[in-house]
Amino acid sequence: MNSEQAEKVQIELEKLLAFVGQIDQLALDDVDPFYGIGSTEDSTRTDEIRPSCPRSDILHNAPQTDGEHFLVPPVFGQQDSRED
Amino acid sequence: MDLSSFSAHQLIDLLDRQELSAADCVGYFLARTDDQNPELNAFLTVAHESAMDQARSIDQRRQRGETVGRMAGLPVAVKDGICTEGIRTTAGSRMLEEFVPFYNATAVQRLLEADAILIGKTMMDEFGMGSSTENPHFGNTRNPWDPQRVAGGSSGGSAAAVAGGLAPLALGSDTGGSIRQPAAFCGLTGLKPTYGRVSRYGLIAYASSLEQIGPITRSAQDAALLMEICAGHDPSDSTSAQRAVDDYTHQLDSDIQGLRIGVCRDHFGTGLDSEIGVALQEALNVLQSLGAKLVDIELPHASHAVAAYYVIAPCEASANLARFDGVRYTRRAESSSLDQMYSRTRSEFFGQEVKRRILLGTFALSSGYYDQYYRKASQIRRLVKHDFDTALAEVDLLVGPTTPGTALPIGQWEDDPLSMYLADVYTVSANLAGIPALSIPCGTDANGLPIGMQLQGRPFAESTLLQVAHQYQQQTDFHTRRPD
Repeated sequence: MNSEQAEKVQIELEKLLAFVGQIDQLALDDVDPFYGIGSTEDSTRTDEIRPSCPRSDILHNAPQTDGEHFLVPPVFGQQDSRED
Repeated sequence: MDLSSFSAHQLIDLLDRQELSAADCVGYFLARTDDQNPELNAFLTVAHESAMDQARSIDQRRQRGETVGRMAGLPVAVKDGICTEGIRTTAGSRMLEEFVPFYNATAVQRLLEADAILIGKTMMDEFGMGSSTENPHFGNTRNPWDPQRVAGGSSGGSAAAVAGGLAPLALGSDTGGSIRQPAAFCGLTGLKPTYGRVSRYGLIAYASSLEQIGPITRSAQDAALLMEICAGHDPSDSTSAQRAVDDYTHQLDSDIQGLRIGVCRDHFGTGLDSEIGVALQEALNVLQSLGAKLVDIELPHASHAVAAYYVIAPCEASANLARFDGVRYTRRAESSSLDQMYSRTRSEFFGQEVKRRILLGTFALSSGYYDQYYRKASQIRRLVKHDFDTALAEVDLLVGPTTPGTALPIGQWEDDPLSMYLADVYTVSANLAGIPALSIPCGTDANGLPIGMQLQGRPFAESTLLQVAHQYQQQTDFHTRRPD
């Protein structure tokens, strides 16, 4: 985001942090956090080989592939030799 | 025949008796959508061709005397945050504007196996982050009761589609009220199931520990049907409960004599529109006349729930949305290095509210602030859950408002995220605690806008909520009223 957007977001976030800061009002030392997902039990599945997703399906939505892999720009911003 | 005001059950009766063909039924709703969607903007994608193909196939199977599914020929709309094989699924984001999933969400798959017909994907706030379906990329969804007002959110497209008669019923998803609030704003029945009751497989994740897929319908009876089809354990979602699904429909007709209904009087005080308070009191009188007993209960930590929610949900969002980085999901900004690809793609293709929540969540999870925000919010979550456990040990369900006010004019929440967040005051607690919660219409305000009543119950007691809602709907006609 540009500096104008960043300034606006900073003001908004300060307001939001001031609001959520009300969670400081409660004495919570003896309270265990609850992260949800506690009511269900994990289960094991049958140890069977199943086909996984076809590679072509997974690559189908990618912006750039070579048919077998996702392609991304070079990590250090240099041209990849394959593109030369 | 004007099918737009028919309930799902009425349509299924006609289809089963072959007084209405699936092709005619689907054709009717597609034509109505073509006519009205330009104004309402309820659908992002309409699946004309596949819906008609499927309808004709069901008609042929019926003519050959083959067995068909329970929802055979019934059109269904699905929120665009739920994956549909071969049909574009954007989650309301430019980031996924061209994303076409190669699999169905389990809830959708179950609908299709019941021979329901997917007619289209409905508008939503981007990734479900919002309460008004005023989408920066795809426009505003309008409320069929008053097109100058919002339909609610984030499942506003599903609600507008059903209220506007473009679909008899729809799937939405609810992270902090996103099914119940638009249902309330549009005069519909909307159920957020117990966490784990409906598989989240194929639901594009926003806040994984809070969200559930659920029905938006014209009646509790239709919601019961949709739940019977969609609910149940799914090996693809390890958080889905290994527990049999109730026969919700069968239990609808049980009377509510002697049922204990908890009322938190704090929820009827400051902040609640007085017209909603009056409508709710009248609804409580109806429930009392049906034999229910009203019991005053307290939810001491409810006032802290919104603050806790707006720490936890953004924290989960900041992790879940990390996957949209320009590598796998259709969109990539012009970039010459990997770092630049990440930052430019996310800057260019996420909207303002999504960026706001990612930043808030990333900050709250950062070193030095985790204990101050995320841990404390999770501790408050424990207290909110404990409040419900205590209250629901004493009563069978709780009844109160769904929203502090009725549908707002479009643009009211623009640039005022805090006001929008605060309007979730009655709905977020059920998501924090994981309990089921249902909104049904119980009146209209002076502007003729629908008012919602919220019923909250014990974990996996959807049957009780649907039963009470159905019994109430046998005594009242708010659920049968339609926009002019």
